[in-house]
Amino acid sequence: MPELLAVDGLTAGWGEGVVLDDVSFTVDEGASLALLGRNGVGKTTLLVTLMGLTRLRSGTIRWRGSDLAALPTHRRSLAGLGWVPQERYMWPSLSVEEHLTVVARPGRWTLPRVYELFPRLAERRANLGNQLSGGEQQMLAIGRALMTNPGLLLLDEPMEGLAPIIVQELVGVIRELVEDAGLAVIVVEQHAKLALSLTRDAIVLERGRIVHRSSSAALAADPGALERLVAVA
Amino acid sequence: MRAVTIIQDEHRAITAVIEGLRHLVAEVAAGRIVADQALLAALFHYIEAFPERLHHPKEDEHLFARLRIRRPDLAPLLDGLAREHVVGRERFDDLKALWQRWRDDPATLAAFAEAVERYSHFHWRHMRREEDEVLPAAARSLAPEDWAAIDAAFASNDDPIVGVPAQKAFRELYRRLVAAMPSPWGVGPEAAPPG
Repeated sequence: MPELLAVDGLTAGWGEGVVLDDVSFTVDEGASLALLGRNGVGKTTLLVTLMGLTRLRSGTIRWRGSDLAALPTHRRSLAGLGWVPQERYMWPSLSVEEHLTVVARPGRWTLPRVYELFPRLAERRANLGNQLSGGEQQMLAIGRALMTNPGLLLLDEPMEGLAPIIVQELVGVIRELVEDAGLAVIVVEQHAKLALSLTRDAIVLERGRIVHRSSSAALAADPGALERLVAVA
Repeated sequence: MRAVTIIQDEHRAITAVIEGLRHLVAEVAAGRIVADQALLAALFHYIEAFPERLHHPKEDEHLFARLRIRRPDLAPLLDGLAREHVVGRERFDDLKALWQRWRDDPATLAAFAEAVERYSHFHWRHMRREEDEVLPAAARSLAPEDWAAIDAAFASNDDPIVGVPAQKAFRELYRRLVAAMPSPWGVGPEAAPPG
C-alpha cells in the first residue's frame, strides 16, 4: 500500500521542554499502528504533534509525500488527519447532530453511515454535547472525526474510563473501521493487549524515544517483552 | 491464528455482559436502583445463546480437539476446562432458576445476587485459564493446517440452530444491550432509583 504518513527524526515538546526525541515511523494507507508505552512517555504528545499543537524542534512529517509540518492544525485536518482526543472536547452548546454536521466533508462517511455505526447517536441526535454519558461522548468523538472523512484516524485512549461493555462495543467498531472500511489508524491505549489485537504493527515509546517496533502479533505473543516495555498486568 | 483474536474478542464480550449483569443485580440488591426485568432477560438471553450454545462448543470441537492431538500432555488441563463448560451450563441453569424464584419471591434477592457473583467469578477464572494456559500452548504447538481449520470454524461462526449468520446477529444483540444498559455500565438511560 502507498505510504500515507512518514515521520522522520521528530523532536518536539512543550515550550522549552523536549518530550519526543528523534522519533521515526511510517504508516501506509489502510495500515494500523498501536502506539504503546507507560504513562508520560510521550504517546499523546506524539499525536498532538501530528496535529501541529506542540513545538516542533526538528524532523519532518510528510503526508502523502507533502510536508505537513508547516501546516496549521485546521489544514492538517483538511489534509486528512482525523483526531479523537483523549479529552473528547464536546461542545456543550451543540447537539449531537450539529457536532457531526458542522465538521462534515464530502466522502464515504456521511451522517446516515455514522448513525449506522453508532445507532445510539441517532437516538440522541437532539441532545447537547454536555448531556451525554462518557460512552456516548466517545462514540460522538469518533463519529465526529469520521465525518471529516479522514485518511488516518488518531485515537487517543479511546477506552479510558469506560465500562467493559462499552469498551467491547468500541473494539467492534474500531475493528470494523480497520478491517472492513480499510481506514488507517493509530491507536494510543493503556490496555496494550487490546491495542495489539486491533492493529497490525506496534511501536513502544520510552522517555520520548521509540524502543521497540514489531508486528502487533509478535509483541502480543511475547509476554516478557510486554511486561518489560509496558508493564501489562 | 485469526481465531485467537476472535476468542479474545468473544471472551471480552462475554465477560462484559456477565459483569454488567453482576453490577446491575448488585445495585438492585443494595437498594440503589429498581430492577429492569426486561434488561435482565436480555442479558440472560445473550449468555445462554452466545457463550453457552456457541462459544464453548467451538472451543471444545475445534481448538481443544486439535490441541489434544498435538499435546497429549495437556489432556488434564483440557479435560478440566471441557468439564467446566458443562458445569458452567448447569450453573447458568441454576442461576436462571434463582432469577425466576426471586421474581416470584422478592425475599430471595440476596441469594440470587450471591449466585450471580459466584457465576461471574467462575467464568472469569475459566476464561483466564484459557487465555493464560491454552492459547499460549496452542500458539506454540499447533501446525498451520490446524490454525487454518480453527480459523475457519471461528470466523464463520454460524449457528446451526438459529440458522442465520450468528456473528451478525450477536453483534446486533450486543449493541442492543449496550444501548439498554444504564449509564455508566452502558449508554442507556440512568437506572430508576427505588421509591
